[in-house]
Amino acid sequence: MADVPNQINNITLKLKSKDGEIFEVEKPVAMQINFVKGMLEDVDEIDGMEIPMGEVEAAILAKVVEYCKFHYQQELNQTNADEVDRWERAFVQVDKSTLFQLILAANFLDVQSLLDLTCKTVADMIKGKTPEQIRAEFDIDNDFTPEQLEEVRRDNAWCAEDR
Amino acid sequence: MISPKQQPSELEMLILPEPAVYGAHLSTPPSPSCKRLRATDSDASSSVKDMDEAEHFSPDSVPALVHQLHNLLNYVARKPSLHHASASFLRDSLRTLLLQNEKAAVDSLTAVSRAHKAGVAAGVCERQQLFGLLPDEITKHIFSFLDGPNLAICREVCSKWNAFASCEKQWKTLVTRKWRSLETDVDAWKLIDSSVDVNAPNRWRMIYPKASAIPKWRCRLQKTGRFMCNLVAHQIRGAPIGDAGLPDVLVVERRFNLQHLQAFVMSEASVLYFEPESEQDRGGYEDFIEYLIKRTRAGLALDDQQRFIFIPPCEYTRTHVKYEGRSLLGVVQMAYPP
Repeated sequence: MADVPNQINNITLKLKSKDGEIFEVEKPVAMQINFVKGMLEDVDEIDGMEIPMGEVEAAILAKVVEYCKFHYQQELNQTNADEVDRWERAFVQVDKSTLFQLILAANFLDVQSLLDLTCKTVADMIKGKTPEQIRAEFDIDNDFTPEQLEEVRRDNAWCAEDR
Repeated sequence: MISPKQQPSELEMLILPEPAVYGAHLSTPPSPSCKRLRATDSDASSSVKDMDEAEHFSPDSVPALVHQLHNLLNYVARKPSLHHASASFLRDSLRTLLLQNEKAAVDSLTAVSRAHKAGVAAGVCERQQLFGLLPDEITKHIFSFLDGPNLAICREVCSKWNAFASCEKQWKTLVTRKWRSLETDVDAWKLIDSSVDVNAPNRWRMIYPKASAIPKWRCRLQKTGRFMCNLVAHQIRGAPIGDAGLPDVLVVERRFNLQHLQAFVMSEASVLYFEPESEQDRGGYEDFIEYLIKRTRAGLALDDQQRFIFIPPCEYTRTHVKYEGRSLLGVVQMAYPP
């Protein structure tokens, strides 16, 4: 791949969402998506080809592309860490459902840094909450028997003062 | 005694409103709202007041709360074992109860306003069980961004989370991030928490609370002018070191006769456990131990707080602190005790 002419980087790829929307993305941007990268390894002719993005819907794919674009630019421009941090924090200011869809997409499309960012965002939503607040936040059923819960609570006596 | 499978347990009965009356269950808090949504089916334009009257007892009514509180008190009265127990159980029950009622109140309001806005009956009850969408590895990946106390709290959420958040691999990461030698130095475990069985399957989670509470400092170890290694010092016993902590650079300029050490060091003196900060520091660390053993002397540093820091070689700590491991221990002692 070392002697591939530079112009190949000017190629745009067509990423197709589950609901049929096409996203034209510059190749180096799209190559941050390992799923796309892996797919291109098996094809010789990519010009004009539509790459199906599995179960990822247009609304979510748009976010993934936005993320990849920023990170491509950021690496080119050597954006400082504070600015990247600020951008990323704004990027994940979405409703919970979108956030979880983004996690699934990042996992399926294999974009590790996006997966880390979104998972960390959910972890931050867990932090500092009581078990009841966590259940309410994520609509989780408490399926413990009272005995089981008492046992876990006994284990957790050491962090009781932090609540 | 009735088997728990046939009958809801006592505690369940006490927190739950009676199923026949409310159609609600503790483990499915949003169900009252489902019911409400459907209740609006018949008459989408009905007001909040009408709706509350339509049902015998609303989950968010004074009689319902009184009923629940009553059940709670009855339960406590019937359980002699609780008379000596910590009240945290009771607090938790009350919190759950209040949260549930608050949620019921909010749910009923949103349900009504949603039905109004839509102008049609909302037939479907949407639950957003987001974690249900995620593969198990992703939930674990999310947990990997949590610290110890938050991870521990996750264990109380539900049985699935309990299993994920009990994962020893993660607890081991949390512990060794604070104290890397614990991975190899089994003898150090006894210095931290002697109640933890070093062979127990959940040993990393068990050692975490004590291991993470122990204060630690980072410093450079220097033998006169020569840099030996970067150290991390953990205080394993004795009086607190104080806010100033340890000096950034520990300069061992003198040696101290081991025989006098016992007489000089006071019983409440702080004892430190030194470990090389990273694998690169291991060489200098080992050299220093060898040097102390060869001279049968304790290394001695004096810091700017007028404190002596003795670093006796391993042989000495083996007999005096009952530590069998190979790491260095140190003793901090005021140079001029009051």
